[in-house]
Amino acid sequence: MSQDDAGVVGSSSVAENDRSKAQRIVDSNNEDKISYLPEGVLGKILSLLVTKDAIRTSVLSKRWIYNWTLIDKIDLDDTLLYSKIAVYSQNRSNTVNTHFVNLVNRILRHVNSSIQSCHLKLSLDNSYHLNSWIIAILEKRVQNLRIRAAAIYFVLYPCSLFDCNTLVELILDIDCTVKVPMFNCLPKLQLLRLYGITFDCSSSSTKLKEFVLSLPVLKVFASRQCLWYNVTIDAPLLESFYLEFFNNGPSYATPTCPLGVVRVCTSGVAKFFYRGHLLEGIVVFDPPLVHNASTDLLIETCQKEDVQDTATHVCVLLSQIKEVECLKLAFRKVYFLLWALLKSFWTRCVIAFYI
Amino acid sequence: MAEKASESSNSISLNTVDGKIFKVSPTIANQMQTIQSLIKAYDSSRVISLPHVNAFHLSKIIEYLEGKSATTVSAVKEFEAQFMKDLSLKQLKGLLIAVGYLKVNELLELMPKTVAKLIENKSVEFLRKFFGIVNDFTPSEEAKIREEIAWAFDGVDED
Repeated sequence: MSQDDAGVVGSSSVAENDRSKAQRIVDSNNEDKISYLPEGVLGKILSLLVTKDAIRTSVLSKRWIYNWTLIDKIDLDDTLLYSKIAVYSQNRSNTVNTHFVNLVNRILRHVNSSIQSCHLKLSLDNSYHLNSWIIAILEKRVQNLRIRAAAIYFVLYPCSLFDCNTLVELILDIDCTVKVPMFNCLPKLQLLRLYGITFDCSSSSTKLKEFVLSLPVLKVFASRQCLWYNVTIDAPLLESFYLEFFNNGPSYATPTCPLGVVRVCTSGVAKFFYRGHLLEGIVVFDPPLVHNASTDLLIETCQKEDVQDTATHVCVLLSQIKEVECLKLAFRKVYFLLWALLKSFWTRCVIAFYI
Repeated sequence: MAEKASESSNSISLNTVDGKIFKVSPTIANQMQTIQSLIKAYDSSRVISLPHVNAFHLSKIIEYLEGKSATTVSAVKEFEAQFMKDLSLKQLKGLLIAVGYLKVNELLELMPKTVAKLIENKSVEFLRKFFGIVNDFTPSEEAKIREEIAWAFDGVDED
């Protein structure tokens, strides 16, 4: 008997008699040890696989049918399915997609009562299931939620998303409208990244100016191509603030439909990034940024006639970040903005101009 | 074995299923949750017998725990990689059972990663062979489950 095949398998259950013990010890070299692992260990192994791999183990044997439900991470990507769509006939791909939808429903029904993280990558066809899926995911006390979905027009309505007390990280990359309730709070959220989101606060109150996102422990905030009106981000512990907005698309800000003001309530943004076109009052810091902050701005203008406006907006923005330790400024197509800036701007900052 | 030689007044004696006695320090023993709870239940002079662990696996676990505590923080990754590399597949599976039974938390973090790496994106047939799992489905039962999770079979590695 070699050293290692003496491993005793076991239901860790009680008193095994000597005969069965002996039998197990001399069992064949390739005995099924893994099937008898404690649930906690199996769950750990299965959680380290992508969910697709974990679910596939249900075909191994009867004992394995529901082992995959031990996972505490959900990681699904249906774009893999669509990359192969040319191979399938239309009928076949519909069937496979139906199975995918059923599978997600099944996962959300069966998986542990609490899950640590959930990453979903969805293509167009399944976006309309998303609302019910999000509700189910949030019920599982998820801490890390990432959803990337290609939706053309779509309203994300689960109010619970902005009232969830377990979320630590939230990344939404969906071209959609989000309904945010007036009273919202994400008490544990530390990281928030939003891409392509339009905020709809209309149902919450007529006094839009008072709309506040309460993020008491948020450290990192990033927004790219998001549209909102007079949103105040109340995040006293914020460390990094990234905002990107290029006013290109047809649905974006126009004089009649301006991009709202983002008012940031924080005492400690250490890093502030801005990329894109600067519109009126787009960012307001309250109080202004502090000494040890660093700022990195890349400003563009769309048309020549906008230059003067942009210069004004830049000055307003810079007046709030006068005292920062490090400032990087870069402009594209805005040469004569410089004079406006230098005139109103005097600090001990390191200034780099990239023209 | 070195563990046997280390005689300290408050060391804990562990008896493996193949009848070898190991004496380990409380620091090491306490890193095995199952033993930790047994120590509380037993009086200290008694030998704790471990019905699901053999001498080889226990010596490996002790080797890991002692080795790791003697390694500097920066070298831990390397030490762990080497430890896992030294195990044959058969040893890995056996050790995993022992670690699961003894609840050695640090190894319970490390070992599943290795196992998951070995089985990621592998076919059902590969997994059955790999783990020695006997398929007890009838062909029609298996076909039904496969159809339900057809999506999960996309892009699986060739055996």
